[in-house]
Amino acid sequence: MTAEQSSEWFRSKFEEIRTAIGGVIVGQREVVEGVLMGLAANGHVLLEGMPGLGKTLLVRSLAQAVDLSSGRIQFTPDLMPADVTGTNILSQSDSGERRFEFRRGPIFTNVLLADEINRATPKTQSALLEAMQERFVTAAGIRHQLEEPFMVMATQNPIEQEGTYPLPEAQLDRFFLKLIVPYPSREELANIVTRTTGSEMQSVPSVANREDVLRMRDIVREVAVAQNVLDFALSIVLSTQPHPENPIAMRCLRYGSSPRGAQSVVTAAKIYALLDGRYNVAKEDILRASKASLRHRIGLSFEAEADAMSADTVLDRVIENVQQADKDPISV
Amino acid sequence: MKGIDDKLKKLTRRVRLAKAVRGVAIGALFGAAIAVVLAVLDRLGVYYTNWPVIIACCAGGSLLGFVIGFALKVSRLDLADSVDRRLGFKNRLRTALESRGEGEFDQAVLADAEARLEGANGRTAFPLKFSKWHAGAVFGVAIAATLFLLSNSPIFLSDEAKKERAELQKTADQVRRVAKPILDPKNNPGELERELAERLEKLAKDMEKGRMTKKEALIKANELSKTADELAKNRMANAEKMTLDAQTALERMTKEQLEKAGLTEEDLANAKQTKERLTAKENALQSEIDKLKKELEKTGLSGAERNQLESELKQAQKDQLDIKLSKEVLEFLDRLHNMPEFKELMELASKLQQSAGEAKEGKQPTQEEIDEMIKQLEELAEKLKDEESLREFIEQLKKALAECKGGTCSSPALIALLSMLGGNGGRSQDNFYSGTDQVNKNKDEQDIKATTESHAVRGERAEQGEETHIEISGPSSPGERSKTPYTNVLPKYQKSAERAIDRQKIPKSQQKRVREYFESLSGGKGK
Repeated sequence: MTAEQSSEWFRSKFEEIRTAIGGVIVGQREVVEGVLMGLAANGHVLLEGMPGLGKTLLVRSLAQAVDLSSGRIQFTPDLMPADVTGTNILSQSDSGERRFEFRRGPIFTNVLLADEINRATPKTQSALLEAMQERFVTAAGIRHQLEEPFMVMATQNPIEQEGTYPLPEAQLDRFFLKLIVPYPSREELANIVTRTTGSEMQSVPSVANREDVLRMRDIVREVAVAQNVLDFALSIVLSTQPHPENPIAMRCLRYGSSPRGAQSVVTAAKIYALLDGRYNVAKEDILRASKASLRHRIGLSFEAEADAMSADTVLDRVIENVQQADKDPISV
Repeated sequence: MKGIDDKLKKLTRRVRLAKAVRGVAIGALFGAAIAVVLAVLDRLGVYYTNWPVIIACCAGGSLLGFVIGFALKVSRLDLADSVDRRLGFKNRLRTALESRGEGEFDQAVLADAEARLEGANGRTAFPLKFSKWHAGAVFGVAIAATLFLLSNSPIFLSDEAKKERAELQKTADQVRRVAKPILDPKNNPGELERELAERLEKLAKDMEKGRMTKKEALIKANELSKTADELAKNRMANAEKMTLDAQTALERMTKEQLEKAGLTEEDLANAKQTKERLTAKENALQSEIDKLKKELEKTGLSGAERNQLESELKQAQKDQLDIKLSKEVLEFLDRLHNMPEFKELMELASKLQQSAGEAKEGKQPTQEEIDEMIKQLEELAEKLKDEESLREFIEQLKKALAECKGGTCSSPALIALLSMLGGNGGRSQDNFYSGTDQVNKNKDEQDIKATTESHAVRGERAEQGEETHIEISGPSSPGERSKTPYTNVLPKYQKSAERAIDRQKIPKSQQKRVREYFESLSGGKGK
C-alpha cells in the first residue's frame, strides 16, 4: 500500500467508524472524534461531563463499531482495587486438589469504561495506573498481559460535586486526551428523545476490526513532523511550566505538562493531519490538539482559581503567547 | 527534490529583492535619524552641517540598506517556513526539505510539497510593499529636512535680519582666510594657535549660519583679536630668545676654541700680528730642536746628560705642536669671521632679534619682511652648508624665523577683520559719524581711560534705505595703551571715505559732511 493509499484508507476508516457511532450517538461530534483519536493513537481518554450524556453508550457503540470487547466498571467509594484488576481465589479441582486461581477482573477487555472514576478512592483509581501505561496487571506477583488494543475511557463528574476524589496527577497524565462532554443542543436533545423512546432501536454496525485498529495506529506513526513544527509544540508544552520566563504559567499554574503532554499533542496532531489529507503535521494541527491534550495535565494555581479561570482559559493565553512569539523568519 | 530546489532558488531571488527594498527603508530611517541628530546639533551650534551632508546621510543609509538587504543570506529552511506561512502550505515545504526519504510517507510528503510549489508565485508570497519602515523613513527624512530648513533658511527672517545675515556670511569667508594660515604646518602652529584657529573657524561658521548678530560677531572677533595679539607677542618673545641663545652659543664656541688654543679675543682681533708672533715663536723652537738633535748625536755624553737633552727636545717638540694648533684655530676663526656670508648671517640674526624685540612692543614685522629674512637665511645656509660649526646656529635662526612667521599670521589679519566688521581694529565707514569730538589727535601713544561700549545706531547708506550699524567706542585694547598714532591711520580712512563717496555709497546729502569731517581732523589738508 502506498502512502497515499494508506492515508486515504485511514481517513475513510475513521469516517466509517464515526458514521457508525453517529447512528446511535446524537451530536457530540468532537467527543466522538476525540474518542476515535484515542483509539487510533493507542491512548486513553478521560471524559468529563454530567451523568446521562451518553458516555456509556458511546463506549459500547465504539466497541461494537470496531468489533472489540468492552467492559464497564462503575466506580464507587467502596470499590476495591481487586474489583478492577481481578483476584486470586482458592479453587478445588474435580480431583479434590486445591489451588489459587486468578480470576480476571473487568479490566481484561479491549475497551473499558471506567464510569465516574472520581467517585472511587485514590487507591482504587491507582489500580488502573499499571494497566493503562504498561498494558499489564500484576496480581499475587504474577503479571497478566492485557489484550491489544486496550483502551480505557474514564468518565468523571465535575470535581466540585460532593463525594468525589480528584484524580491524582500521575493518573491524569496517563490519559491521552481529556474531552469535555457538553449538554446536547435542543435539536440534538429532541433527536435523542425521539430515538430512545420509539419502537425502533438503533444498532451499531461493525465497520472495522482489531487489525484495522492496529493498522490505524501504525499509519499514525508514519506522519512526518518538521523541526519547526515540533519546536512550536514543545514551546506550548514548556510554556505551561511555571518559570520566570513564562509569566502566565507563573501566575496561573501550580505545575505544567509532563513530557507525556508533548507526546500527546504531537500524536493527536498527526491524526488531525491525516484527517486533513496531509502527510505532515502543521502548526494548525498542533493548535487544534493542544487543549484536549494538555487541559488535564496542568494544575491551576489558587490565584487562577480565585479568578474563576479554567484550564482551557489558561491554555488559550499560553497558546496565544506562543503564537505571538512564532514569527515569520523572513520579514519583508 | 530538484524541482523544489529550483523553485526555491527563484523565490530566494525574490526574497533578496524584497529584503533590499525593505533595507532601503531601514537604511534611510537610520540615515534620517543621524541627519536629525546633525540638524539638532546644527541648530544648537555644537556641530554645523550643510544640505549635502544631510542628503548624504539619508541617501547613504538607503544605499547601505539596499546592499545589506540584498547581500544577506537567505536560509533555505527559513525560506521554506516563510513560504509555508505566506502561501498557506501548512508546513508542507519545510517538512519536505527536512525529509530524508526513508519513511513510508516521505516520498508522499515531497510530492505533495512539489505539487503545491508548482503554483507558487514569488510576487504573491513576497510582495514589494510600502511597509511601516518606509513610512518611518519618509517621516524621518521629512523631520530632518524640516529641522535643518528651519535652522538655516532665512525665509522666516525680517528684511533687515536677512541683510545682516548676508553681510555676516560674506565676512565669514574672510574669517576662514584668517584661520587657514594659522594652521599651516610651515608656521609650526602650537596648541594655542590651533585653539585660536578652531575658535575662528567656529566664528566663521556661526557667522555663515547667521547664528549670531553683527554685534556678537564683533565682540567675539575683538576677543579673538586680543588672544591672537597675545599669542603673537609670545611667539616673538620666543623668537627673540631663540636668536639670543643661538648667538650666545656661537660666541661660547668661539671663546672655547680660543681658550683651547691659548689665545684671547684680542689675539683674534689682531689676527695678522698674532699669526706673525706665533710663526716667529715656531721658528725659534725649530732652531732649538735642531740644536738639541745635534747635541744628542755627539759621542761621549754621559747617561744623565743624554737624558737631560732628550727631555728638553721632547718639551720643545710639544711646544711646537701647541703653537701649530693655535695657528690652525686662529686661521679657522679668522677665516670664518672674515667671511662676508658670516657677517651677513650675524647681521641677519641681529635684525631678527631687533624685529622680535620690537614686536613685543607692538611693532610687528610684516609677513613680507619675515619672508625676506627667511629667503636670505636659506641662501646663506646654502652658501655655508660646508661650515659644520655654523650649522646649528643656522638651524636655530630658522626656528626663530618660523616662530616669527607663526606670530604674524593671525594677529594683523584679525585686526583687519575687525576693521572690516566695523569694530575697534580700525574705524569702519559705518561709524565714522560717531564720537568725532572725542577723537585723540595726539601723535604719540598714550593711555586712554575709556571703557568699551557698544550700541546700535540706525542710519542711511547710499540709497538703500535705513540700516542698523553696531558702534563700539573704546580704546584699541580695552584698558591698555593706544598703539597706533592717530596720524598714521587718518590718511587710510580718509582715502577709504573718499572712495566711498566716489562710488556713491554715501547719500549725497551727507557727502559734504563727510568731507568736512576729515578736513577738520587733518587741519584742512584734505582733498
